[in-house]
Amino acid sequence: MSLDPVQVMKGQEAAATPAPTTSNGDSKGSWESSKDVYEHMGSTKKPRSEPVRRVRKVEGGIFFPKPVNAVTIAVSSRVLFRTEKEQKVYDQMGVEEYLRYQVEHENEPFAPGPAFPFVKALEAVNTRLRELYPESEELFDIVLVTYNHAHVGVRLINTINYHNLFIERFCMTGGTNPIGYLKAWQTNLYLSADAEKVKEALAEGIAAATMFMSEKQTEVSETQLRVAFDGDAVLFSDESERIFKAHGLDKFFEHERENENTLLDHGPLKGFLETLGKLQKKFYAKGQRLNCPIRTYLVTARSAASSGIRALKTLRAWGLETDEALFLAGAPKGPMLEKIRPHIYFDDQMFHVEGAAEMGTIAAHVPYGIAQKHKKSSNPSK
Amino acid sequence: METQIIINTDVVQMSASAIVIAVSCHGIFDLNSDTPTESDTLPKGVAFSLVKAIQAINEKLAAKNSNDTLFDVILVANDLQGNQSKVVSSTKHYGLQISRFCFCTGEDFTQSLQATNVNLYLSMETSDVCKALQEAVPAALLCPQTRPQLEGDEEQVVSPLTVLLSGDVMGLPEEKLLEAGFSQPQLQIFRAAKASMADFAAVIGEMRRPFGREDSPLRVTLMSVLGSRDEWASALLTARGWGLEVDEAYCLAGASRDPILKCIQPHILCYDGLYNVSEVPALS
Repeated sequence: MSLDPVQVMKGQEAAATPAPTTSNGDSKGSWESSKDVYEHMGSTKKPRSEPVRRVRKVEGGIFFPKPVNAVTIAVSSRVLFRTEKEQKVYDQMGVEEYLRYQVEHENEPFAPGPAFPFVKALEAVNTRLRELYPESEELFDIVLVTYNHAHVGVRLINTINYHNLFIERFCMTGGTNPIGYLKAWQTNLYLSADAEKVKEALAEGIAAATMFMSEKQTEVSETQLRVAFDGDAVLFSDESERIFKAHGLDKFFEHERENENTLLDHGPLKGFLETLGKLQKKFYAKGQRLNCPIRTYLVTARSAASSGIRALKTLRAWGLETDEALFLAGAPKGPMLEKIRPHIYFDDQMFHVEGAAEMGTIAAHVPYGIAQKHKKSSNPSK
Repeated sequence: METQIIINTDVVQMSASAIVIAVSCHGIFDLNSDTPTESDTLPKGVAFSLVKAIQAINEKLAAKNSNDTLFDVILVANDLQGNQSKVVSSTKHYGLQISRFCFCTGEDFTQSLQATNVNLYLSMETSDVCKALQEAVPAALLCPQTRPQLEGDEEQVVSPLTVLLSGDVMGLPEEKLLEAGFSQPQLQIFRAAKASMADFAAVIGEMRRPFGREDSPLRVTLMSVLGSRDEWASALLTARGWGLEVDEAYCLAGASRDPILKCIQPHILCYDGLYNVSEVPALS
């Protein structure tokens, strides 16, 4: 949702270069200023042969927001739905057989995947937002971004219809790298099963995480979106993590204490927390604080009395807050997460992601920072 | 008002069974360039890579040694005013596999196209494409490439010929267009586009068929801008019914198409009468 893509879109600037890589911490102006720029751009004349593009009414009176105003969540088909069987066909028999299989089973909807509850919760938030702000485009906009070929499109539509999902935007790249499209859609969060693509997105400044299907899934709320974040290397940079890995726990504590009043640098998911916070404020503005359909959590191994202080001060300085902050002082995260039941939990360490999944929490891996070089996994990662 | 047809003696002439693609030379060459050129060579235009991409298809087909139909590219120019020899010499200079040149004057170029049994006419000018469509000549837009092209004669990896079809033309009912505020002239163009769409799809489908999913020198993309997901799905099924293999598909549901087009970088855009192609950002 940064300003520059708007200028590129309208072809106004001579430099038609792609949007500069904005790290997620860099809030390129608030929504209000983005919208102002867009509206200002919109007032410049369009070519006369172009029809008035006011297609805002679709069935049910629901319209689809302009990507620049919306919070765009890109999900791949492999995390939105369960496609293990089809994946096996692809791996064992190649792409032609895979596509033939997909077309053959076109009328069989896929089962929900790990990102499905999250997407359903986003829609629930949208419903509440539309009630309070019927004209606003500040909504979640879900785009299905997949590497798949167009052959699979019909089966995906059938599945979406079957599950009653409100997804109208699709990006099937047929084998081309989706990263360019993620930028074109001004993606705020990208969820995929492919760690390489997620890493690429992170490198381009797009919040992204890898999701896995776990056998155990506890029930999550259908009315309140709950998003939980790890602290270091997710909301914050991995700088402290590096100290810990290189010099051990004592040095880590010492460093944090000495630098208590220095802000931590931002991490890849900081921007996403920020956008959630902005949406939350829209509910508070209408007296919905107690009834807010978005709830955020910080779940960190830092301890409240010592290293946690720096984390809190940083959040406060950023003007961000989470509804709950859980400082575990090194205790396992699984049981706490099991109580929270987030629709998604972001962590940079596979060890924690797997631990959470074992207890039924939907966890997503953010392959960022120093922890990726020191993989400490309880089982070989899949 | 006479049309001159010049044969390119550097190139083997194709059989009558080849698919004839007539390309407007504006776009293949830069005819308005201010940069001084050495001798008679025109600089490459923004759509130069199209010809290279079609050549790559022919080469792959020839390598397969099958009886697949090849593509015969001819250059069409209207009112060139003396630049004819430059066009011919530039073509030879770049080694382009263009078999003939069709230099027209005045308004007769659609007649010339009909006379040459053209299977597809490509131009960067929307008005030319509309004219051709209305005379029942299958036509589509030639798109400027915004990927940086190498200067001079250096060979570069040729990206596959990318054809973009409109899912809206294939899937949208007219009522929806009227609701969106389309005028009658715009609807006329839409109808003409829809009528020629099936023929266009047949040509493209035949081009695509010999190649597999991966490493195809031709990629077919379908994009819906206005349609809902169900209309997009019905467009996909329509394409399948026409025997057209679609590689990539996008459903924008009202989002701006420019950023997406920039990623797709189509060479050929099936004109749908819905949007002015000048929206596509030019070379930076």
